[in-house]
Amino acid sequence: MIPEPLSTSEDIRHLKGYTDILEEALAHFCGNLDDAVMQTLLARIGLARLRVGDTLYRQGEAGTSMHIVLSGRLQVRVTMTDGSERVLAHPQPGDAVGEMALFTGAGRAATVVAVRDTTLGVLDRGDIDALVASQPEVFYNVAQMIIARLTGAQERVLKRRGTRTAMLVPLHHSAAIEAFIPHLRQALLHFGSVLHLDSRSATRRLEAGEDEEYGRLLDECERSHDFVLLEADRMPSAWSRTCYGYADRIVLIADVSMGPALTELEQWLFGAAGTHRSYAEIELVLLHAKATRPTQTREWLAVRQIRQHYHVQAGDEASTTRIARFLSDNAVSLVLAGGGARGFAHLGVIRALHESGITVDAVGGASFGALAATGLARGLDDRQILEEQRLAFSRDDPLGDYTIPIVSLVRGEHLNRILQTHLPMDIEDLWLPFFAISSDLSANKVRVHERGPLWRAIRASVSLPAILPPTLEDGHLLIDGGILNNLPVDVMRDKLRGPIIAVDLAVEKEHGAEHKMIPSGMEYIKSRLLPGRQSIEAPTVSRVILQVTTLASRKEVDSARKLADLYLNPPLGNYDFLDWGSMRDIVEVGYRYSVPQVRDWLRRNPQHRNRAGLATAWRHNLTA
Amino acid sequence: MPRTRTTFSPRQQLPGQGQLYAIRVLFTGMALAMLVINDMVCRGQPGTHLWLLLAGVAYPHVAHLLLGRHGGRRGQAILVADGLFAGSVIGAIGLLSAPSAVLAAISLFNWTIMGGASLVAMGMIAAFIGVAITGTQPFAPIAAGDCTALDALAAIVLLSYFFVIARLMFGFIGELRQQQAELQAAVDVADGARAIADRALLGVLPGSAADKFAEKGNLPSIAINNATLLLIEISWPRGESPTITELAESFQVCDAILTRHGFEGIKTFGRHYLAMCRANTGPDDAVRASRELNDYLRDHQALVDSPTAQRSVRAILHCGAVTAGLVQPERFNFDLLGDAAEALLSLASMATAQPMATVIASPAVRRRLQDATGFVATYGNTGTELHILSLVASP
Repeated sequence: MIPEPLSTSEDIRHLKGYTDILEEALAHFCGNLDDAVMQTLLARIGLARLRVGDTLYRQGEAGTSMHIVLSGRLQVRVTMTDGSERVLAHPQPGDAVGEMALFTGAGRAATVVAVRDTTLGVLDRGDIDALVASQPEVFYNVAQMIIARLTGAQERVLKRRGTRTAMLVPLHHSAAIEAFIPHLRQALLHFGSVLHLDSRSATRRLEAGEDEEYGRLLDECERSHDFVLLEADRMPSAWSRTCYGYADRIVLIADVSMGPALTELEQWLFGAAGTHRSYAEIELVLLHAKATRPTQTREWLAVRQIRQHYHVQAGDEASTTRIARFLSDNAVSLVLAGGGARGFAHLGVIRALHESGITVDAVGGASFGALAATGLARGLDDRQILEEQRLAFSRDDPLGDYTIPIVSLVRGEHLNRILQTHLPMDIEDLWLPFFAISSDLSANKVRVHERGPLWRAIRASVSLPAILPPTLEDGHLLIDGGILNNLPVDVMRDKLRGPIIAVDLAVEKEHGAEHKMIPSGMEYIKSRLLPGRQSIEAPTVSRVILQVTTLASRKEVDSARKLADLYLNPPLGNYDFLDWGSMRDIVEVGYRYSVPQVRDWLRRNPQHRNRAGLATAWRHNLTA
Repeated sequence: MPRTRTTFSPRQQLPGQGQLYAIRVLFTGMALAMLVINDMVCRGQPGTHLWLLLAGVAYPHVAHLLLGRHGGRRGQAILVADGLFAGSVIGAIGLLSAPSAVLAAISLFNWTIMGGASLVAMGMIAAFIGVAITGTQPFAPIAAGDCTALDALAAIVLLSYFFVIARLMFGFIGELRQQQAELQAAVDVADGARAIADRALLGVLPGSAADKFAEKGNLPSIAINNATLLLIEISWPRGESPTITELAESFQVCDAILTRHGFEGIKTFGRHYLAMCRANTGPDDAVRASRELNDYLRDHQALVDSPTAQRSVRAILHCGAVTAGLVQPERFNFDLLGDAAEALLSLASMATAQPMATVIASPAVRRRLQDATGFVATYGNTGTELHILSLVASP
C-alpha cells in the first residue's frame, strides 16, 4: 500500500516542523543545492503517514516516488531466491528509501514496512526528473550514492541496535505494579541513560518543547537516551496507542493476585489497535507477593501470545534488576552440556559464577546439564543444588531398577519417582527462563522443551539410549538431548541477545582410552578378581554407549563454542561418565577451573558484575 | 568456656535400643524353642528345664527394663547377661551339638561387634557359668537320628539371625551415609555463607579496592597522581529534608550513572556523594555524568510528584594527587586524603553560594576538559577562580 501524499494546510504546517531533517536528507541526496532550489524542492514534498505494520511498498513494484523518513522507523527486507526473507536495514529519521527504483527504472528492490508509526516526506518522480534536468550535477551525486550502496562501500542506514524504546503496560491497578516500574527504571540505569514517560510527563514535554507531535518528540527522546520507557495508561487512550505504535518491545506487567483474564486494555490494544500488526516483541512480567511461588502460569500464557515471560517477587531487588538486564540485552544466560557424572562440574562452575558476582538470568541444557540447570531455574544456589542432588543420590539409586534388557537396561521407574518428587512444577512456573533439549527419534530432530511438566522434560533429556527407556510425547519417541545437540548455545541465542556462558564437558582424550587389547568378558572379570593379575582397561558397554551419545553432536558443539561469549571446558579427563562417587572432586575441578576464566572474562566485561546481587544474597542468607 | 555434657535420663530410650530389644526377644525365643525341641524330641524328657524356660520367657523383658536403656558399662552388662542365658541353654542342650555351636557363634558375634575383646571375655565367663548351672550332662551324646528337627531349627535360627542383622546393618549404613551427607551439606552451607559474607563485606569498598583486598587479603594505601574527584550534592524540592529511603534511592541512581561513566563511589555523607575516577578523561566524564544525573532526577521526580517538585544536583569537580586507603580498617572506612581532597572540600564550601543544577569546576579541571562548552569563569568569596556550567538547559 503506497500512501498518497497529503497536502492540506495542516500537513504543510506539520512538514515545517521537519524542515531540518528534510534539508539534511536532501543535501545528502542531491549534494549542495542553492537556497532557491532547496526551497522549491521543499515546497514540492508531500506528507505521508504509516501506522505500525503498514507496507510502504513491495519488492518488484514499479517505483513512482521516493520517501524520506521524518519520524518513526521502517524495515527494509528482501525475499531471497529460496523464498527466505532477509532484513537489510532499519531506516530512521533522515534516511531516504525508494530512490534507487526511480533512477534504475527497475522495480522496487525490496519490501519496506513500518515497524513503528512513521511519518514520511514524499517526492514524486516528476519532481526528481525536473530537479535533475535543472541541476545535472544532482544526477552524478545520486549515481555515486547508488553505486556505493550496491558495492556495499557505504553504510546505508543503521542496523537495529536492540531495544531502545519499550512500552510498559500495567495490566492492573496494583501497589506492586506501582512500586515495580520505578525500580525497573532505576535498574536500567546500570546499562544506559533512561527516560521514563507517562501520559502526563509526555504531554508536559510536548507542551514545553517545540515539537508538535509525539513522533518527533519520541525520536528526540530516543536520540538523547539509551532507553525510553513509555508507560501506557491503565485504560484505552490515545497515549496508549502512541506507545503501541512506537515500541520495540511491549512489556505487560501483571499482578498475579488479580487473575489471568485478559484486561480491557489488552483487548483494546491487541484487538482494535492490533489490526495494525506490531513488530514489537511482547513479553509478560508476573509480579508475585512475597513468600509465594509461581503456579498456574500456563493459564496466563494460554490467553496471550507472549514471546517470553518473567517472574518477579514483589520488592525483590534482584529479580527487578534481572528484568532490566533482559530489557537492555545484558541478561547472562548459561548453557550446560550433558556428560553423565561429569555434569557435577556444572555445580562448581555455578559456584564460581556466583562468587564472582555474575547473576545467571536464563538457563538451558541437555541431558545432565538440563538437570543441573533446573536448580538455578528454581532459584536455588550451587550449595542448595549440591545438597539436593547429594540427598537424592544417597537415598535412592536412580538407575537401580534393572530389568530384562529388551528396551533398556533399567526400567526408569526409580528415576521417574525421584524427578516427580523433586521437580513437580511446570517449566512455566520456574523463576528463570529455562529450556531442556531432547532428541526426537521419530522426527530425527532436536526438541526444545520450554513448556509443560518439568520432570517429563528432564526425563526425556536424560534418557540415555539403551540404558533408560525413551519417553513418549505426542506419539514421538524422545531420547537424550546430547545425541543431537549436547551444547545448545544456538537455542539460547535464538531466545536471548545477551552474553552466553557455555559449559562443555567433553575431553580431548577419554579416560582409559589407551586400550592395548579388547579382552573377552571372562578375561576382563579374571583380571579384576584373581590376585596377581593386572587389571585390564576395557571399553565397557555402558561407557561406549555414553560416549556415543555425545560423539554424534561434536560438530554442533564446535559451532556452539563460537557462538558462546564465554566457553568453559573443565579438565575432566580423569573422571568417567559413570563416576557418580566422585561428586565432590568433580565439583571442585569445575570450580577451580572456572574461577580464573570467569575473573578474566569479568575484567573484559565489568558491566556483568553484580555487587548489588551479592549484598542481596548475603542478606537473604542471613535471614534464612 | 564450660564444657556441656549430654546426659540421658534412665527413662530415655537410646538410639537403636528398641531394635536391640526386638532382636533379643527373637534370639531368646529361638533359643527356648531349641531347648523345648531338645527336651521333648531329642531327649524325650519334657519339662526337664522348666525353670530355664520360665526364666527365658521373662529374661529379655526384665533385662531390658533394668539395663537395656543405659549406655556404657551398664548397657553392656545386658550382653553379659545374654551370655549367662546362652550358656545355660548350651549346658542344657549339650556342648557338642550343632545348636550349641549356633548359639555360641551368635553370642560371640554379638560381643565382638558390640564391645570388643573385654566384652567377649566377660561374655564367655558368663556363658561358662551358665553351662555350669544347667550342664548336668554337658557332654552327653544325643542319640543319632533323633535330633534332625533340632539341627534344622538351629540352621533356621542361624540364617534368620544373620538375615535380620544384615538388614539392620544395611539400615544403619544408609543412615550413616545420610548423616554424612547432611553433615557435609551443613559444612558447605557454612562455607558458602562465609564466602558470601566476605564478598558482601567487600561490597562496602569501592570496586577496585575490594578486588585488591579480595586478592591480597589486605589493602595498603594507594597514591594516585591524577585523580578526578567529584562531589555530588543532591537538593530536595521546596527545601524539604529527604528521608533515608529517598536518599538511598538517590545514591543508588548516583552509583548506577557514575559507575557507567567510569567513576567509583568512595563514600557518602549527608546529601553528598564522593566519587573518584583515575582515567584521563575523568573531567569530561564527570560533566557528562553530572548532566545525566541531573536530568534523570529532574525528569523522574516529576513523574511521581507535582511538576514543580524537582530534585537537582550540584557537582563539584577537582583533580590532583590523592592517597586512598582504609582510615578505619576495623570499620572498612575507605577515604581519600591529600591536597586535592582538601581543595575539593574547600571548593564545596564556596559552591554553596552557587545555584543548584550546576557543575562547579576548579581551574585544574578546566585545563583538562576537552569540551568546556558552556563553562563560565567566576570567582568565589575568597577570590578563588571557579568555572561554572549550568545544567538547567541541557542539550
